[in-house]
Amino acid sequence: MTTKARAFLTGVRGAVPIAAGYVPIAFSFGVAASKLGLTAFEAFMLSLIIYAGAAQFLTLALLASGASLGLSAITLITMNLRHVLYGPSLLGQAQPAQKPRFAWAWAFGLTDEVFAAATADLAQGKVTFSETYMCGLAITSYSAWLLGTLVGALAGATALQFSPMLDAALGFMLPALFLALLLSILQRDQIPVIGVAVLMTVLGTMFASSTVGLLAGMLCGALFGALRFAQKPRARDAG
Amino acid sequence: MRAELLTLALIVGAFTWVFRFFPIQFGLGRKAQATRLGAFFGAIAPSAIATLFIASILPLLGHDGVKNLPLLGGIAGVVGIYWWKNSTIYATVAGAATFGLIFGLIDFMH
Repeated sequence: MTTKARAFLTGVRGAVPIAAGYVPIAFSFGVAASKLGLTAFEAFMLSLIIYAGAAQFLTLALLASGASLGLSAITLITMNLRHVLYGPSLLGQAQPAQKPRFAWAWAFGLTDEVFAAATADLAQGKVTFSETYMCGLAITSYSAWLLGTLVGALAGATALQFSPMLDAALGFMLPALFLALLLSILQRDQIPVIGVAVLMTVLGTMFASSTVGLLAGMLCGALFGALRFAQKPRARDAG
Repeated sequence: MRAELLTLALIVGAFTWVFRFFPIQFGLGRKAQATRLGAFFGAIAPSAIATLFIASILPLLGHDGVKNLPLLGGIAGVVGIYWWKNSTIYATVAGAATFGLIFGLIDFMH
């Protein structure tokens, strides 16, 4: 097996927990779209083109509220602004000689979960950064999202009514995945950064909106990390 | 497909792709290595994952203590199985299963 094929398969394996979370969540999206009167084709096209879970659910809420096209677009674009941070963070872990040639393709699949999984794999030393690995991770996750949406939309509006317990368990898949990924990259010196991120997410959500909470948590946590980096040399000098 | 829905999907999809791709294209993370900006990008991963976790559980929190039991059980399931097996897959599935079981139990008792 070639190095590229091995890297691709490592990406596919790394996407298994994402797929396990994506299929049920996308299924729920398909069901919710169906409840709103969208056809299976329309629900599938939203997943195919937008491919951002939270934004897609918000799309349904905006459609249901009768929001205008302009307002809906601005709201959804703002919500996805956080994705600007993911590429540079990943690229910072690549070898200096590596020049991304196919980022236009795999970057489309750089969702919250793909970013978190890639970061965890790289931090644990399971893989070295490569575009082939990113393609394996992104394609598998994207396929799972599309499959889940299609099955959910075809199953129709009443699909999950038979089992509230299953519905609840499926709804907790993504929080469980984020927590497991957080545990997998957790290091003692990152705890203050995580603490700031958590605090700002809660405050932003409480006093503004969930979108503000997301951006505040990510940006303030990262800014705090940068400030600590600036203070470390001075602390060493003082010691 | 309705034209308005397709237009919305295309606008949002295009911007999302730009947000994901352009910072990579301009090599933002690489230029910033070993600088304060590099530390900023390095700290994004833990803060982003922690933020996404908190943002995803906030809607599940309730004022009624009993209603929070599935969430507490789900978190305990993830932490416990991750500590035991050191596996993201097992921990995720165990957390979701625990959440669903406790939710079902409370639903049955009420």
